[in-house]
Amino acid sequence: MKKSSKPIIFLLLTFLLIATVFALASVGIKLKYEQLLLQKDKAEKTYKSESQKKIKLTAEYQTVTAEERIVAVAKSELGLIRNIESPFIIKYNNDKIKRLSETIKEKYE
Amino acid sequence: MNNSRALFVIVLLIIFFIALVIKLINIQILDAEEYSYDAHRQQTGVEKIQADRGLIYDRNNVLLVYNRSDISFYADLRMLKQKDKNEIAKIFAKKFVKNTSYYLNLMKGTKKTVNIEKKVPVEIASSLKQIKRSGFFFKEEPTRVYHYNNLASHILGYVNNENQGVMGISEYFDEELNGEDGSRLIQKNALGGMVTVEDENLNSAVSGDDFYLTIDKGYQFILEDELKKGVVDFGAVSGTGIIMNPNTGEVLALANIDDFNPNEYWKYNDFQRRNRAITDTYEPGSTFKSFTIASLIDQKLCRLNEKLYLENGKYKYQNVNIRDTHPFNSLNVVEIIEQSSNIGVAKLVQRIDDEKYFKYLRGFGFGNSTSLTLSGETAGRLRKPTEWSKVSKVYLSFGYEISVTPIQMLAGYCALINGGILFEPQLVQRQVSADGNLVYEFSPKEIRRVISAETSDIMRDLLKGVVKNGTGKKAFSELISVGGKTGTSQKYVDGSYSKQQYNSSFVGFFPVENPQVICLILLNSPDQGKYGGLVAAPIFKNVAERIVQTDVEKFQEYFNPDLLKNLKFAENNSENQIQNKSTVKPISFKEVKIASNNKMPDLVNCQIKDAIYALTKLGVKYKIKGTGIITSQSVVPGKKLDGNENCLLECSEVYIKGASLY
Repeated sequence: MKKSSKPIIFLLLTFLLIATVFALASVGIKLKYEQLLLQKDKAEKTYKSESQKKIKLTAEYQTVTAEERIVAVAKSELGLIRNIESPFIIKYNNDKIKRLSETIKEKYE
Repeated sequence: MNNSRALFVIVLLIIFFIALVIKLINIQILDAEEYSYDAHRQQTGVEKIQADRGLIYDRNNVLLVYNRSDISFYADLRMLKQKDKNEIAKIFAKKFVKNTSYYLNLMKGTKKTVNIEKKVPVEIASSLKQIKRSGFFFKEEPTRVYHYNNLASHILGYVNNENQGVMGISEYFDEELNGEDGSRLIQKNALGGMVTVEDENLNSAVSGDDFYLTIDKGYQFILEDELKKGVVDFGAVSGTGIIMNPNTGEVLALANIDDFNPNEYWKYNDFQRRNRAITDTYEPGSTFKSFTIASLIDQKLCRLNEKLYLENGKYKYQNVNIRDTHPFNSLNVVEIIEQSSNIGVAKLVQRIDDEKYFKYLRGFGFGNSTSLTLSGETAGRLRKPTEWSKVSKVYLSFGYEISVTPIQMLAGYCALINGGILFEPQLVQRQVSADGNLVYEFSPKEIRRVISAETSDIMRDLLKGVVKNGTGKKAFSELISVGGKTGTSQKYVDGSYSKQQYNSSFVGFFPVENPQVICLILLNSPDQGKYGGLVAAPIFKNVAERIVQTDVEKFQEYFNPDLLKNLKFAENNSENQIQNKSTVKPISFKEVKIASNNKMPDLVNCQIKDAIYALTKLGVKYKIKGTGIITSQSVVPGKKLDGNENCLLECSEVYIKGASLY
């Protein structure tokens, strides 16, 4: 073996080593990328599942807060009955009535 | 020596690398196409991304239909070993409380893929998903959830196994609800499990649009509840009810009893699943007289106060006998409609020209489909005057020789009382994309003016009279002014009119001054009383009163003035002061004090909710009689509790600021 051929071999080996490192690194990065894609997919599924749960809970919330349910529970579980008398309220302003009465008194006395 | 050894090793390495490079060139370049094809075929697969179906809401944004992803489990019997089958059967049997043999029977043989469990909720499926056996796999499957089960089933329709909408809104707007499925490439391992996703080949799914309906869940619930009770109470074969807003044509509720649960649609027969309100026709009978009278009034062919001789209940016209249920000697036009006289209407209708009468009936929408956004609607039958016999017009005048659907009937009545305009029945308010953008807003669609506003005003008053003085008395409400018309028609069975089977109906509306709600109740073959006034009118009354009580704010201004006599008064500007002109005196509430030594507390003058809390905490059973605040208790205060007490709490009402406690 000639002395002058040594650096070429070392150069070649170094080149192969670097190429191998690059190849391994690229495989590693690719695997990591694929793993991240899988994680993303899993996260998307979890998100979808949680969104569906949220929608379901919204529907259940609307059910339990619905008037017909509250009335049914009040009747069947608490023994309450709906007031059969008219539930209407006439609101009046007592001060205004007093003021008007005084005005009328002043005018016609 | 060392140099030559090193050189040998290096040469070997170089040869090895050269061999590798040659092989790589072979794989990557020369035979690349073939290898790539094989690899692609074996390792990748196109996976469908199912688009989420759109949600369905009612007019008040109450969610009616949504989606859930369930898991279905499968076994590929070509790959699954007997040992694994036994193990899987055991796990599934334990989870679903079934016999192991059930699952083993399913997995008999070696040739096909079988479904072990279909649509398992995610919560249950999560542990089963951990089973790793070659040939055992699972798939996510979308499930449509109809949150209120049977509620509005005929409007909503259902989704079949192929994820296709069937019936109702689900079918009519199937494409819009479905969205667009997406796809992606996935890499699989030898067992078919996913290794990775190829992101660059992703074609995202587009979710379906959400639909907001015109129906009111509260009204729908009331209508179904009362209709169910009515069908049972009167022994009817089935019942149909529709509620609409007469001023816009919006359908507020639509129900058929029997109905079905769209979550388990396969358990019901065709009759139960069919939306009879739009598919089934019937001869309307006396409810149709309103249209005849309206046509005559609109053409000024009769006066309300003119008297007609009614032949004492038996009238022979063109060799056909026409009878009244209640014979009268004479009645004026108002009384004819109030008492629903066939003879009166038959005599009046002869004044109108055939073509004109037909034009009015067509104008009200009879003989044409209403264009409601539901599939399967039928047009009914209204023959042209050229096809009429000599007695057809007379029969038509009181609702025979014509077939209508309940939705047509109610749409026609809307025109009759809303000022004379026919609206297209509307079922959808708006279509909104999954990202919240408005896609389409549906608005009330005016079709045509049928009668003048004056005629419509007269008709409202006439129909009010029917409820106040005539055949519709059982629809009369103390709460609000009601108008309406009763109808009873013999069913046409096996080529002749049955004397046992009737269609009993009532079309009513309220408040008469400004109609906001119109409702049709139709009972098919009731066996307890055949007349619409006896059978359908009370159901309408219950529906109307419950709606009014639910929607107090909307109807408050139309409440019956007679009710004002019993009003409670409250001062507007005083928050704490109680002003009440009724005999009930204001009572201040007492707090419940629970003694530490397990003794019965004094509950008199306490609120029910506080008493319930205290008694539950003390483990005392209770019963409540009445409403309001507690006036007496059966277990005396201070009594030592041993856990077996049953306390009866009697209550009476108390008014706070004019409002009564519920």
